Amino acid sequence: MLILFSLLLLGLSVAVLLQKRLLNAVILLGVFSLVSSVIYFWIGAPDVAVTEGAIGVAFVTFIYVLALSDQGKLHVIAEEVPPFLFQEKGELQGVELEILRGFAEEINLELEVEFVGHQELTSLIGGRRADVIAGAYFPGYLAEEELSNSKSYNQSQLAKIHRSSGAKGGIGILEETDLSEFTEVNEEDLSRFSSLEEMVRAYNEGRIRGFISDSGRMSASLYRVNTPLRDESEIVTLGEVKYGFAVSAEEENLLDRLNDYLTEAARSGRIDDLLSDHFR
Amino acid sequence: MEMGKYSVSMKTLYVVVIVVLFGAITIGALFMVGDSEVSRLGAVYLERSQEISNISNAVFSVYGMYRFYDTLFELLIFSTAVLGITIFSDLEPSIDSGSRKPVESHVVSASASFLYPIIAVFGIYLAFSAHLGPGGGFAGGVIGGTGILLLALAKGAEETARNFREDSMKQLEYLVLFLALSVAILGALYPIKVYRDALGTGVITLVNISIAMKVFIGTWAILHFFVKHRGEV
Repeated sequence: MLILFSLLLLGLSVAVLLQKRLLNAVILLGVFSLVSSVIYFWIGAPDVAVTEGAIGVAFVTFIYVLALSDQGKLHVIAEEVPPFLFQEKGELQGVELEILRGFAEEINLELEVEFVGHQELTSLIGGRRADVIAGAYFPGYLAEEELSNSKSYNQSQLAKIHRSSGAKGGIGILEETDLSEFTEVNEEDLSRFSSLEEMVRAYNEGRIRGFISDSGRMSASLYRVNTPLRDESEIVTLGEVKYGFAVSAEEENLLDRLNDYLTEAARSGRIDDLLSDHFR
Repeated sequence: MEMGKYSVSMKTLYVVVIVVLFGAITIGALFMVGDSEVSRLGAVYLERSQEISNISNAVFSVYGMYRFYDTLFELLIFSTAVLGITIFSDLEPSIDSGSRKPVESHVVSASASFLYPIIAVFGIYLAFSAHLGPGGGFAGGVIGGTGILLLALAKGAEETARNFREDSMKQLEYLVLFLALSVAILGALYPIKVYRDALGTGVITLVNISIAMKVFIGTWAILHFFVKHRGEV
């Protein structure tokens, strides 16, 4: 009987090592403690068995679960930009959701998406709050050196909408966006806005003569504002934006895995399928 | 398809392991009673009790001379762990869990309020009867601690902390540790003077209870640290 239990211990310890999900491993570790508690009882040390039972099965398992409750998640913070990543009737939707869900599944984490404002994105990345920035992110969107950009899954244009004649005011641009990669703009000529909606409103009311944004975000915003742009608006393409994700610069490992996943998803044609589903 | 196959076989394996385990425990417990090897050893200790400790109380001579030390060293390890955690708790940023609510489940909260008194009584019983049966101060304290863990799960850690008056508990923890260690060390050095002449062998029960309290408070300290720095349960 003792040999049987000892073999069971051996088997359990191997099973713990083989588990892919950490939570399963922790639970098996609890079973391991239970079995060793039985062994203690068997060889005539009931008080050690009681202690092992209380500590190993209940207490340590609980501590591990608490410690894991934060670890087993892929925290994504995002701006809500349909059709990239958005909420409809209380449910998350969007092409980025599908991509991130697949990625989280591959690295055995639970996906958790939190929508935040444009300005909060950089302050929350890194540390425990967030792992990945999503929501129509493209390199240059946030002027932040602490970020690493992932591979891109989709391209679009950075567009400037403006009125050439009879307009006054500066060019509107979102706070934090860094234009240096795309075009030469006199910084003094820019006026910064905290949201795209506000910027479109300011343009329509004639406070600024134009604004710059990526086309994906812009069409979502124009749909939301639900008023036509002023007459005589012209669209100029400034360059190409590459939509992707951003992770904290310290998280090299996560970046590598995300890039691997994106490469593989692009190769297998999954990303093209998703894009044609969501963008039509 | 292969994924589904894999998970079904793992589930079957788990079920088999659990059934075998509980079967073995039940059968084992039946055969344990009156195990000849164990009771023969017990008889030897009883016979030699006088020469082991020079104290005529046989229960004490076995408990105080052997098992008490294992409780003490368990306490030592545990106190080191608690000390480490309290030191590190100042280094880690704490999460404001005030806004987060514990899981609202009627099953958990109802069973917690039903089970907690039973667990607590069992823990106290183990501490009180440590010199007579299996258990001991350490195990009693830990079992009380798992009871409070259940309460924290059901009602939220912050509320539980308020109910248990954490601040005064911390001072009590050191007082109790001091009491237990001084009796134990003096007893180890001068067993006859302490246990026969000065305090009587009954003091061992008091020491066990104080160890249980210390461990109980320590368990709570560890729990509360994790909740504070890792988010609500």
